[in-house]
Amino acid sequence: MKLHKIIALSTVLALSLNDSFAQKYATRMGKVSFFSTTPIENIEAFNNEAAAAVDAQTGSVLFIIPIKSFKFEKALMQEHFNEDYMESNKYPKAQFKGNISNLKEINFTKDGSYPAQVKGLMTMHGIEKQITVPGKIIIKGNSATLHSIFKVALADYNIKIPSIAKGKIAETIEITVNSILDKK
Amino acid sequence: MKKIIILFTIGFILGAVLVYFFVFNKDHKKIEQATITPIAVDVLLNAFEQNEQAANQQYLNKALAITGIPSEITKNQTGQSVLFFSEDGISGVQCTLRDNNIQVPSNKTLIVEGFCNGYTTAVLLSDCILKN
Repeated sequence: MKLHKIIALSTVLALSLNDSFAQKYATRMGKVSFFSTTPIENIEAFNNEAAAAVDAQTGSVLFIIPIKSFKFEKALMQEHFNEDYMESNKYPKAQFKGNISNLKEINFTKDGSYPAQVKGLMTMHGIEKQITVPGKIIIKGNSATLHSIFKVALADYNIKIPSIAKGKIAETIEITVNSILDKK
Repeated sequence: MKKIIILFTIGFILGAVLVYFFVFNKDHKKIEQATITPIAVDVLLNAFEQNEQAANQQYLNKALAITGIPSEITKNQTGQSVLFFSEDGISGVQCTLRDNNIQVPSNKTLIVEGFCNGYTTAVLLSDCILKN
């Protein structure tokens, strides 16, 4: 049985056994986008199929991002992104697994916007790298919105840009996470 | 000689226009243009849960059709309808419809066609259309 299914089943089991565990938030429709800007061209892509989970008690955060779910305005860009840069047939998803460093400063039971810092392991294009991501968590009723903007250097994940596309794609791209997670 | 230069110029411009429209500005592949493989929800889900790597090789990017009654119909943050086919409410097949403002009937058996984007905590079908 796959690890995330075990985690999902354990979560449900825990929920059914003890109300004190009722502080988990999750979604299968998380929104993540990226933006590349150069003097020649701006490139943007959106993804609405990221799976994400946050445990308000332990502060653990998990994001699983399907690479093929990034949608571009132009079909050719999407094709190059999948086939040439991200090699999404070989590496179909990226993952971030980490913990909220300042968990004590976030009150999941009270509506509000809380600055958050998440440290963890990003796996993308087959490369693992420890990163720290700044952002905020917005609590509103039974939902938690995770919002973060951070930069990723393509070279850190061994993503190579062919010489013909150099100058059109930034060496460092901006990732925006804006995902609404529901209390489970 | 002048005729040849004019013809060459026209040919070059025509070629450039065709390359622009059919290569640089080509349309996204639509599910209606793809060869569809029908598959049962549980067969697809089991394939990914048992061996994700093998299932990716078999189904990733493929145009699939599933049939069933969605256990959940919701909207994503962009306003697209998202159908979830699941027996336990945890794992299942998630289909994101391509077009906004589609009225999805509830409690009705649906045939959904879409491209397989892989697996997160569910098998993902994207750019989907309803066939009934």
